[in-house]
Amino acid sequence: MVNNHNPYRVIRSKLVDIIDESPAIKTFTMEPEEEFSFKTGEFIQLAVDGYGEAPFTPSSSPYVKEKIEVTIMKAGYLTDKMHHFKGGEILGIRGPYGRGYPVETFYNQEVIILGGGCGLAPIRSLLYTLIEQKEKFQKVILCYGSRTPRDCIYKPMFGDLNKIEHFESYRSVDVADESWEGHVGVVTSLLDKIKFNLENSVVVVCGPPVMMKFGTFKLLELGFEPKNIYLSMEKNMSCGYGKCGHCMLGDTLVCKDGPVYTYEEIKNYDHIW
Amino acid sequence: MLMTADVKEYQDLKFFKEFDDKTIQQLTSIGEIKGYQVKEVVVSENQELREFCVIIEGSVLIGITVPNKGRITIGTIYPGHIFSWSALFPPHIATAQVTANVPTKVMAFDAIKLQAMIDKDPVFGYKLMRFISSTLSRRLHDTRNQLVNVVTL
Repeated sequence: MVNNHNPYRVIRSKLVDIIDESPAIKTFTMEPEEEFSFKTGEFIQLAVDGYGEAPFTPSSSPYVKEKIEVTIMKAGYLTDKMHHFKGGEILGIRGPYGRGYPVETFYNQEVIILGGGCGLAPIRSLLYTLIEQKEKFQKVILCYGSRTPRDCIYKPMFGDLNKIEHFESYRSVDVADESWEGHVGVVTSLLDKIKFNLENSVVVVCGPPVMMKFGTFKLLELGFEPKNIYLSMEKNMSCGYGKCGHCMLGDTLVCKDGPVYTYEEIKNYDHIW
Repeated sequence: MLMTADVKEYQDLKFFKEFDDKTIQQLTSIGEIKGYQVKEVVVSENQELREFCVIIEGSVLIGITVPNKGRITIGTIYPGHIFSWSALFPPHIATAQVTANVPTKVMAFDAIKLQAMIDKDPVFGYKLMRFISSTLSRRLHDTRNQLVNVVTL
């Protein structure tokens, strides 16, 4: 997608809404002062005055240009500050950067999505894209795992997805509470209960590194080819345009060549997880 | 060979897919269907096991007790998957607790009768052991991951 502004320039954006998704995760809705385009899976750099900036993949629909949403887990200095925002603050965004999901290559196939924790944020953006073009996919299956039922984000989305023809969603938790009657266990074990066409499927994986690693191994064990496994690698991206080298992965730079890779592309590099 | 109602009923389940119709008939002839209510304990950790089980309907939770952490659920298993495999291997002691997650039906095989089938038909025995090995490998894998998830919670 061709952007309509200089991606290296910071755009002032007003924080207009904050949604509590779980005890540690919030979704922030911003209105950029000018139209902002991105392709699903690409990331932005979000700046908080006096606190610095950090990379996030938008969780909103790429088809909406006047607003942008990011879903952020409280995990450090900048994100902790953001979790104290009340709305109305002015933030800076620049981008988009990197290589997103090659949705066109998913056409006429089944798309299986494995998400864990806050990794559902970029996946939600992908889901909006898949829904927009739903007649082009055989089936879309979302498997999502959170640590506890309380930690699940975008809860209403799961019911909504199941109402769409050829879309299915499944949830898993690591630890159940009294309210939970569903699947308990690692998210990849949900693959034991779903039906998919191995010969005509691609898989998208996004979540914590431990889930990405063992999820990928499970997919290989099930017979998926490395070229059909798409991983969203969230390394320490800083400059956003391949200059600083903070996010090297093998001989690639995640901010420029990623963050979305096939497992085939990175399987021979050291320390990918 | 005529296909019985039993064979048709079970041949789509992952476990039975490993075997031919004749073997499925032999298996169902020694299997006993048992039903469990939600949250009913099917197998207690450390109990002596005499039956090898396949889930026919519903799902069960596999859990283990970890010192200072209490009971941790390792995973959920569904129709066509097995539990209580320790019934076939000494010392025949359950390594986990199995609890019905929803109303669940299982087919329970007397371990002595199943062992007799294995001894009589080594090809069946090989296929059964291959299925059990694959299950154990996956369950070990899931257990490791789940322990990392839960212990660091």
